[in-house]
Amino acid sequence: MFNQVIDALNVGIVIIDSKYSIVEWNRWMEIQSNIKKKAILGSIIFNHYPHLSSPSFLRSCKSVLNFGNYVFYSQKLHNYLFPFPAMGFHNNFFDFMQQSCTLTPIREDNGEINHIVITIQDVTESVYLERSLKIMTQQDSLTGIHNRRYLDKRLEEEMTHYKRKNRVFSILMIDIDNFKHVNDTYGHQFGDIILKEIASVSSSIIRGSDILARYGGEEFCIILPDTDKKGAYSFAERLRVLVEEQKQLYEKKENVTVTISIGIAETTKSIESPGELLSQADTALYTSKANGKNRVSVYDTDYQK
Amino acid sequence: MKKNQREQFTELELDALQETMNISFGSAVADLAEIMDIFINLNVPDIKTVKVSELINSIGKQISDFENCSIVEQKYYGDFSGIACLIFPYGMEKELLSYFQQPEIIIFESDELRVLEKEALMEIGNILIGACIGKIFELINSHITYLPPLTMIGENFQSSFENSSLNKDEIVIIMETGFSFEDRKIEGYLFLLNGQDSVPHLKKALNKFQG
Repeated sequence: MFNQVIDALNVGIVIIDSKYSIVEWNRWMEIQSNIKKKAILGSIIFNHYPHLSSPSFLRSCKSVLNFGNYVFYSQKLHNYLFPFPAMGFHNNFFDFMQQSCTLTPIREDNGEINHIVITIQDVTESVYLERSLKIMTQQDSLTGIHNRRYLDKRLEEEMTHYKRKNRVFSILMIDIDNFKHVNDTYGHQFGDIILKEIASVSSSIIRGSDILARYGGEEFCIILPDTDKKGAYSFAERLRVLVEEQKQLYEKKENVTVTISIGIAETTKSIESPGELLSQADTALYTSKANGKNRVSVYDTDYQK
Repeated sequence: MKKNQREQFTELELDALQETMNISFGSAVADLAEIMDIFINLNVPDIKTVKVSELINSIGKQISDFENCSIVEQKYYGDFSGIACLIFPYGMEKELLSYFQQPEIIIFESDELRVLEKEALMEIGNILIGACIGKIFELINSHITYLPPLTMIGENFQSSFENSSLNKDEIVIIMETGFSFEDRKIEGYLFLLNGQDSVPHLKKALNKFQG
């Protein structure tokens, strides 16, 4: 009767002995692995799944066999134990089915542990939902770059890093010049195209550790970790020129050029909060606007010259 | 208080229990090194009894910045049940992560890093707790089941205790020890918290051990 129960479960059940030889392989495992129970019983698990011969898995097995430990193999740290294909449309997002697994001891009547039960649960759906939700809370839906909420959080963290480890960073405030005019002349849909374009040009030149976010309407912000204002200035100039060189085709005939103004601020000892830094970058941005737009200004006036 | 109504340890038994712990934890450490390649040093274990209401105070006294420390908590059930807590001072998670990760993996997302640190904490906690408790249960020739480990920071541990249904006057037996990893700059504390119901079983263990 128990065999039927084991086969009826919507969970993978594998039992191995202390020599890592497979003694049970339930129906769920047959289906996912495409290996029949008959074919796999008696063989060493590593012959079929060599990647399991890893320090982490061996450590876990040993702790079950020697200490009677219950080992919980989390999806977050390991993603999966058995490389089975993800089912249905999850195939597009995951290389393999995401699994939450446990390793538990089976004791003989005399208390000895000679077998380990491995349970495998498919958690791909929840991982997918969790990721989608996370993206939704961090992404700007129009441009696909980070949103304001994410920026605020990261800025706070960078500030903490700076204070603890003296890791200098700079921020860029970017504003599209005459954006109202673009919207009024060519319509909001074309305005959206411009916003996406600027986001995409900026994305293409930032480093992996830089953080690009849409700050508000036509404003963007970039955090450049480990970068002083001098480095930030040359980056900003590069971006400004790149944007100026781009041409957007309006209704397949008219070429429209947009420009951006940029303000830069670098962390200094006197800055207490992310808000202060943002406001310095904003002041620099205002300077760029006041001096004729399509230019870069740094908060520290010494450098600007 | 109601001291006489419940079974208590005599001074002699407490001494013996401490010795038992010493030996069972010592053998856990030896096995961890031999079987798992995890090399830790244990301080001399200590046993004391405190009221539930004084528990947090008693634990917190030994850890600076208790509110921000990381705690792995795992409940266990067997002949007697209890809670095992592994406590790491603030900032140790990053070191622990090096047990599980390839050094070249770079994570920019702070959230993801935190999740991994938490998971590493749980995994190593699970192994250490299991090894130490397993040995005690081995002594009383009994078996044990665990719930999955949980991680939290000191502040939350405190409030989870304050909101729990535990009787504030109840006496808890604390078995505690400090430990450090030989090959890494990691140190922490292990606390096993057991209620009154564990006393007869621990006495049994003592008799067996001494007999």
